[in-house]
Amino acid sequence: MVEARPDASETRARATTFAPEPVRRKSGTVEALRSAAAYLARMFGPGELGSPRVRGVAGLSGTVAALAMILRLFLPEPVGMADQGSGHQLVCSLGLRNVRPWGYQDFAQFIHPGWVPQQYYGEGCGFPGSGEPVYSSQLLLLWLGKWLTPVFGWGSGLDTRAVGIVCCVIFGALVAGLVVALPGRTLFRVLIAALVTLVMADGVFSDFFVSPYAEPAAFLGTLALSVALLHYWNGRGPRWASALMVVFAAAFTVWAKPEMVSWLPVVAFALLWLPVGARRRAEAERALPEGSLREGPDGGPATAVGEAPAVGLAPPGRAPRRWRAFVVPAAAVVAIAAVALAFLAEQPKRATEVNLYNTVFATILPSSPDPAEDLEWLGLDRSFLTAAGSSMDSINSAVYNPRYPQFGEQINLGKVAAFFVTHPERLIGLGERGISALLTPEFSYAGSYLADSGQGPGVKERRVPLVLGLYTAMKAAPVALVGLHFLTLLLGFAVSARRSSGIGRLAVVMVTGCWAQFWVVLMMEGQPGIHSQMIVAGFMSALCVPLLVALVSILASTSRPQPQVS
Amino acid sequence: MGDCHLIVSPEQFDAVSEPSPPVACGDAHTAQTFKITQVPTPLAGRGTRPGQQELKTVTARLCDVASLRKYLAAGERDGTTGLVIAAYAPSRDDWERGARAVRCDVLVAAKDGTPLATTLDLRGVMAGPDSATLRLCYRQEPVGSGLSDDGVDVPCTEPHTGEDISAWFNLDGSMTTPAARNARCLPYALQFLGADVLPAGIVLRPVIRTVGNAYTVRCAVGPLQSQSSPSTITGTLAPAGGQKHG
Repeated sequence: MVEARPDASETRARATTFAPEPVRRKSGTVEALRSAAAYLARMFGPGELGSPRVRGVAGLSGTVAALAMILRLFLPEPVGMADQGSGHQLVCSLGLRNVRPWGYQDFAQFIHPGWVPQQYYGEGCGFPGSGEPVYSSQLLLLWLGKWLTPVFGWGSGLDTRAVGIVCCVIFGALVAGLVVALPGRTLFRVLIAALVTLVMADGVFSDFFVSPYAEPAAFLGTLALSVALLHYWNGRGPRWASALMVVFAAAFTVWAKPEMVSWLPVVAFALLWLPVGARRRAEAERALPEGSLREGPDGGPATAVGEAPAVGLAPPGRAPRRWRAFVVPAAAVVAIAAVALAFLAEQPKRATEVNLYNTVFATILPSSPDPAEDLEWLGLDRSFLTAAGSSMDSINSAVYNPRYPQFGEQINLGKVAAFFVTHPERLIGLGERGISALLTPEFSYAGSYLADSGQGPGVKERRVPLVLGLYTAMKAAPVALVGLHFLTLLLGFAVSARRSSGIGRLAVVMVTGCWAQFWVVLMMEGQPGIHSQMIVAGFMSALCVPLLVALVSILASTSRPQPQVS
Repeated sequence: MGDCHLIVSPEQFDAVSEPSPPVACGDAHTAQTFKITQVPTPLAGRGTRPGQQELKTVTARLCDVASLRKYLAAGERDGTTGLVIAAYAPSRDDWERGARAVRCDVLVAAKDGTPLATTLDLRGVMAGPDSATLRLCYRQEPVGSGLSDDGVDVPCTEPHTGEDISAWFNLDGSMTTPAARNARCLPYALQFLGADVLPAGIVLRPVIRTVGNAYTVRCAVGPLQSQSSPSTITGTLAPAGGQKHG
């Protein structure tokens, strides 16, 4: 029997560590910089891009991250994201009612974390205007918070501060998972995890932890998916298990919010981008007689991390069987697609109608050079022109037009998508508005503090304003955001191609996922909700920063032959 | 009609269809049905229920203040406070089964709109001794030897200096003096009190309400004030209600 392991001496010679590139000329300043870079590379650089086990450090990192988030949210006083009225539609399904002022102004200017038991009838619970049930994976976090609320002495219902603690603990677990899944030396992994923690700790994101909104599920789901994909690409352990992790993480993420379904094509692409080991195994299968493949001791491939694939060794006339490597990921893609479609099918019809209304009347028509022609293209009567720029609640809303039933007959998601495909010039202005919204992640109208905190109405907390500061600076030159994305994407491709590292792939997936999220929100949610809905794309953009640090660190280090170990 | 309900959240209040089952009116409740009517054509002809905005526009017209005042047995001169109207259409399923009934509820609410729980039966309440709960009164502050022109709106169950008689005018050049305002309000006060002349101890006390640049005279009656200490009363001066001097 022939073992699938490629030539050992050849592969060992290719195992590498990375150190800073030497500079061309030596001068005092340059030498000092080189020394500094060398020091930083020794201390924080990725080193060997293998995946040695660092469970102790990972557990410690996760614990510190969770504690840091808890301290950040609760000291010296609790902070959160004030509900704008949409929290009820989700939390009410747990049989709870918010204890808060009746008037909207008083309500939105402070956080009101207390929810008490309430039995609902008819349309009192669910999506506003129809009472249809609203689903989200956030309900799982809310349910855990409800279970913990009496434990913390916050009454018998739900206190969103308990949900905040649940989110912090889950975030800590994900940071631990990230440290395990990242490649390179321990300090490098901890550095990247710390940067991710700093991103999450910015109030524009972390304040959502203490709120009834579904955003925490979207944020944590995105991180969970990142960790699961890294693990999948690392190729350690049974591949079906790592693919199953991706399925669970993707299902949780997609079920957070309807627009998170934009992850679907990106996750499909990520899953079909086979792990390095699987690719090698498929190549090795091509090269060997049937039945001659042997697995490594951990059930994975019989090649070491960093080894080169045995490409081009297939004897002439042997039928390739690469498709086998795609069975598990393809099954995972089908499972995630089924989950996503099931979620979309359960979306309130009223929510879809509101989104379509906003897209047509608040996004397409107001920015149109010829609204009448657009109405004709969309199959709507010219009398709807008076509703251009309106929302459903406006005085000039199209719902008061006797021909409004025509809107339901003519407009659907497919038609809106077709409109943008046939009017690509509209995407320019739309994109500009979207970038502006993404770079304005703070909900200025929603307060961060409790009503009895002594803080004024609507006051925002900015304890860790790193992302807010970065985005505010970028607003001076919004093209910098596009630059950040493209740089991350290119370096991601470079790292995935040159270093065969999952972190490069993750960068590619994060950027493309962010773009998918960005355009889905722009085209399907409409102008009125653009600021609030762009927050997840803003989070994914912010994650490009730690990814970029990792990618630059890896690429800035040069390969050096490893000492041979027999 | 006459059923009582417990509506406690803004989401229940804003729901398109009935959000709460009836409760006994003797138990704590926040809403009472004062009218049941039908969705008019052409809206009623639709096979699927119209949207929230359309229904709210129509039901706001159907659940009118005149019908409510009739249900409460409020007279022409009875001013009310803290009453909010909610309207509920059939649920989507009921609509598709042919239901077109609209339920009009009245809620007793605090100033910020929060519904107040009550055990009162609101049918005909303005003609009875419990009407003070719903009547609009004013509490004016002492200024010099008299009272301030304007006052704070309070229900008549709270200490007050004047009671609204549902007669409001724009403050124009003909009513710049207190005597002119009193003369304008007098016929309405007599109608409110059911008397030919003002009873002893009761005086006209119109307040002047400023909203932006608009000045409105709101006719009111109140107890005669002594020069040394302005007195307040609780309750109503309406013939059907009782009052206490504070």
